[in-house]
Parts: sequence; structure tokens; C-alpha cells
Amino acid sequence: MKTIAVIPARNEEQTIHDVVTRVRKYVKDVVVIDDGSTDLTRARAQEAGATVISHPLNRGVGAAQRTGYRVALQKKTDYIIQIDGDFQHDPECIPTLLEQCQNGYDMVIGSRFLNPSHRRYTVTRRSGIKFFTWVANLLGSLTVTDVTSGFRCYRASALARLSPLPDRHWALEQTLEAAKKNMKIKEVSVEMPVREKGLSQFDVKTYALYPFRMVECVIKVLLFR
Amino acid sequence: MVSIINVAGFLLGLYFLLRSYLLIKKKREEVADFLVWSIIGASLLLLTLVPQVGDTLAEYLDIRTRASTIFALAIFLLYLIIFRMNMLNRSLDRQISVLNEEIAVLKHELENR
Repeated sequence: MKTIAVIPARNEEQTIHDVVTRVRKYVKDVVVIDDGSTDLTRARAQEAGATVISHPLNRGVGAAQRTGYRVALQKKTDYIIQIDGDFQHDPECIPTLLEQCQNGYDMVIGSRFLNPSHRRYTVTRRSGIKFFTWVANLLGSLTVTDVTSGFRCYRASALARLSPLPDRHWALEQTLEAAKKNMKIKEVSVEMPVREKGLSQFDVKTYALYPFRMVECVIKVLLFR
Repeated sequence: MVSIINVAGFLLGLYFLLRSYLLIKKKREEVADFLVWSIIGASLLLLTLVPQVGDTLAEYLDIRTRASTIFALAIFLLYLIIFRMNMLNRSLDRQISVLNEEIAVLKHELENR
């Protein structure tokens, strides 16, 4: 069974080498989508043995993942692992996610709410994630605990049935669409500590726009997908 | 009597007409845009040169004053223009994203040949 790991990254020169090296212990084919980095992310990822595809412009995590899915699907893979380049996701959990996917699930989500790691997050962030998860569960008849998690494993044939991701705020939209298309979704416990190196892509603007994007995405999925 | 607002409206109308004519002459504007802005310019000129047109319009639309009529029409027009600009902006943003992805993938394929 062929598996490809997709890592969206932007300005992750401090962590990307180690992330790629550790991911390659479990998945040989690693694709890093460098989303308009201005540092040495591309070079560091290449040194670690990843295939690097560089966006000329920074367009957001969703755009990077879209390119990653495209490349992975072109390579006729069976499973796609999606993991962040900042070490927030532990590559050692890859076999657990993959195993669940191989057991017949279309999408496996690594959840930080199935273990105590979420307690280290700020109250605002925790409440936001819980609220969006509640919305996803309500509208998609789901029972997930962490809809915003970016640590995921997909069955490639299922991922190909989903619409292209938006450039930003992709997680809720993708999960809701998967639920609407009756895909089998499973969660596994994954510890996600708060990042120690580099800068988070989530700034005040991202948080401020989240409610608006959420309304847009709910309308999009419920009415047009 | 000619008021300052009439002069300002007249000058703005004249500016729209001249500017859109010059832009299309330099091939920097579409004919459709020229038409929209020249209609707006001509309307402003008409309303400032023949104020009675505004009064007739106000009476027809059941709006109390000429000024309110002009404001109401201007707001509707601005809504239309903003809506069109917003759609265009969204569409261009999507196209930039697609091109960004295409360039990244093609560049990677070229580098690996």
C-alpha cells in the first residue's frame, strides 16, 4: 500500500528538517509544500530528503494542502498523511492514524481533546476549537472532538471525491463535506503541545476572521456541496 | 442660482467623461467601463445644468427633495458597482491561487527533468 505524507510549511526552517526526518521513518515519500517561505524552509526540507514544491506566493495552509493533495493523487497513492511542519504533531502517531485508515475509515483525525494536551492552550483557542467542533457535530451529525486538527490521514480515493480546499480555514469545510458525503470519519488521540519554535500562522486577523469564514463555509457546504 | 454643490457635480461629471475617454483612448479601459462612467458623468452634468430634471425625478420616485433623490440613486449605483467589484475581486483572487498552484507544480516538474 502506497502512502505519501504532505507537509504544508511556511517559514519553518527551525523545525522542518527534523519533522521530515522523523516522518520518513514511517512514510518514505514526503512532499513539503513551501507556501511562499522567505527563509530556508525549502533547503532544509530538501536536505532531509523531502520533495519540495514551492508556491511563489503565500496563499494559506488550505492552498498548500490543495497542492499537496494534487501531487499525492498524481502519484497514485493509496493513503495520504497530512502533518504540520512545526512539530506540533508527533510523527510517531502516523502508524496509528494509518492503521485506522487501513481498517476502512476514509478520514482519520488526530485529536488533542482525547488527551490532556489541549489544557496547555489558551482559553480563547480552546473555546474556539470547541465551538467549531460543536458546529460541525451539529450540522454534520458527527461526534468528533477536534474539527480544526490538521493532523489527518485520508484514503486517497475518498479525498479525490472532496471539493478543492479554500486557501484558508479549510478544516471545518472539509470535515463537513466529508460527513455530508457519508464518509467514514474516525478520531484518534494525539498529543499536540503548544509550539515552541518558529511563529504561528494563527494571528489576531485569523482569529477575527474565523467566525465569518465559518458562516461562509457552513452555507457553502450545506447549500452547494 | 448656481450653488457650490452644482459646480462640484458639474466638474465631477466632466471629470468622469474626460477621464474615461482618455483611458479608453490609451487602451487602458474596457468599452463597458467607459459606457458606465460616461453615463454617470453625463447624468451628473444633466442634473447640474438642468436642475428641473432632478425635481421631476424626485416627484416620479415619490422622494421629498431633489438632493435626496440624487443621494438615493447614487447609493443604489454604488451598491451595484461595489457588488461587481467584489465579484471581480473574488474571481481574480481564485485565479491567482490556481496560477500559484500551477506555477509551483510546473516549476517542480521542470526542475526534475
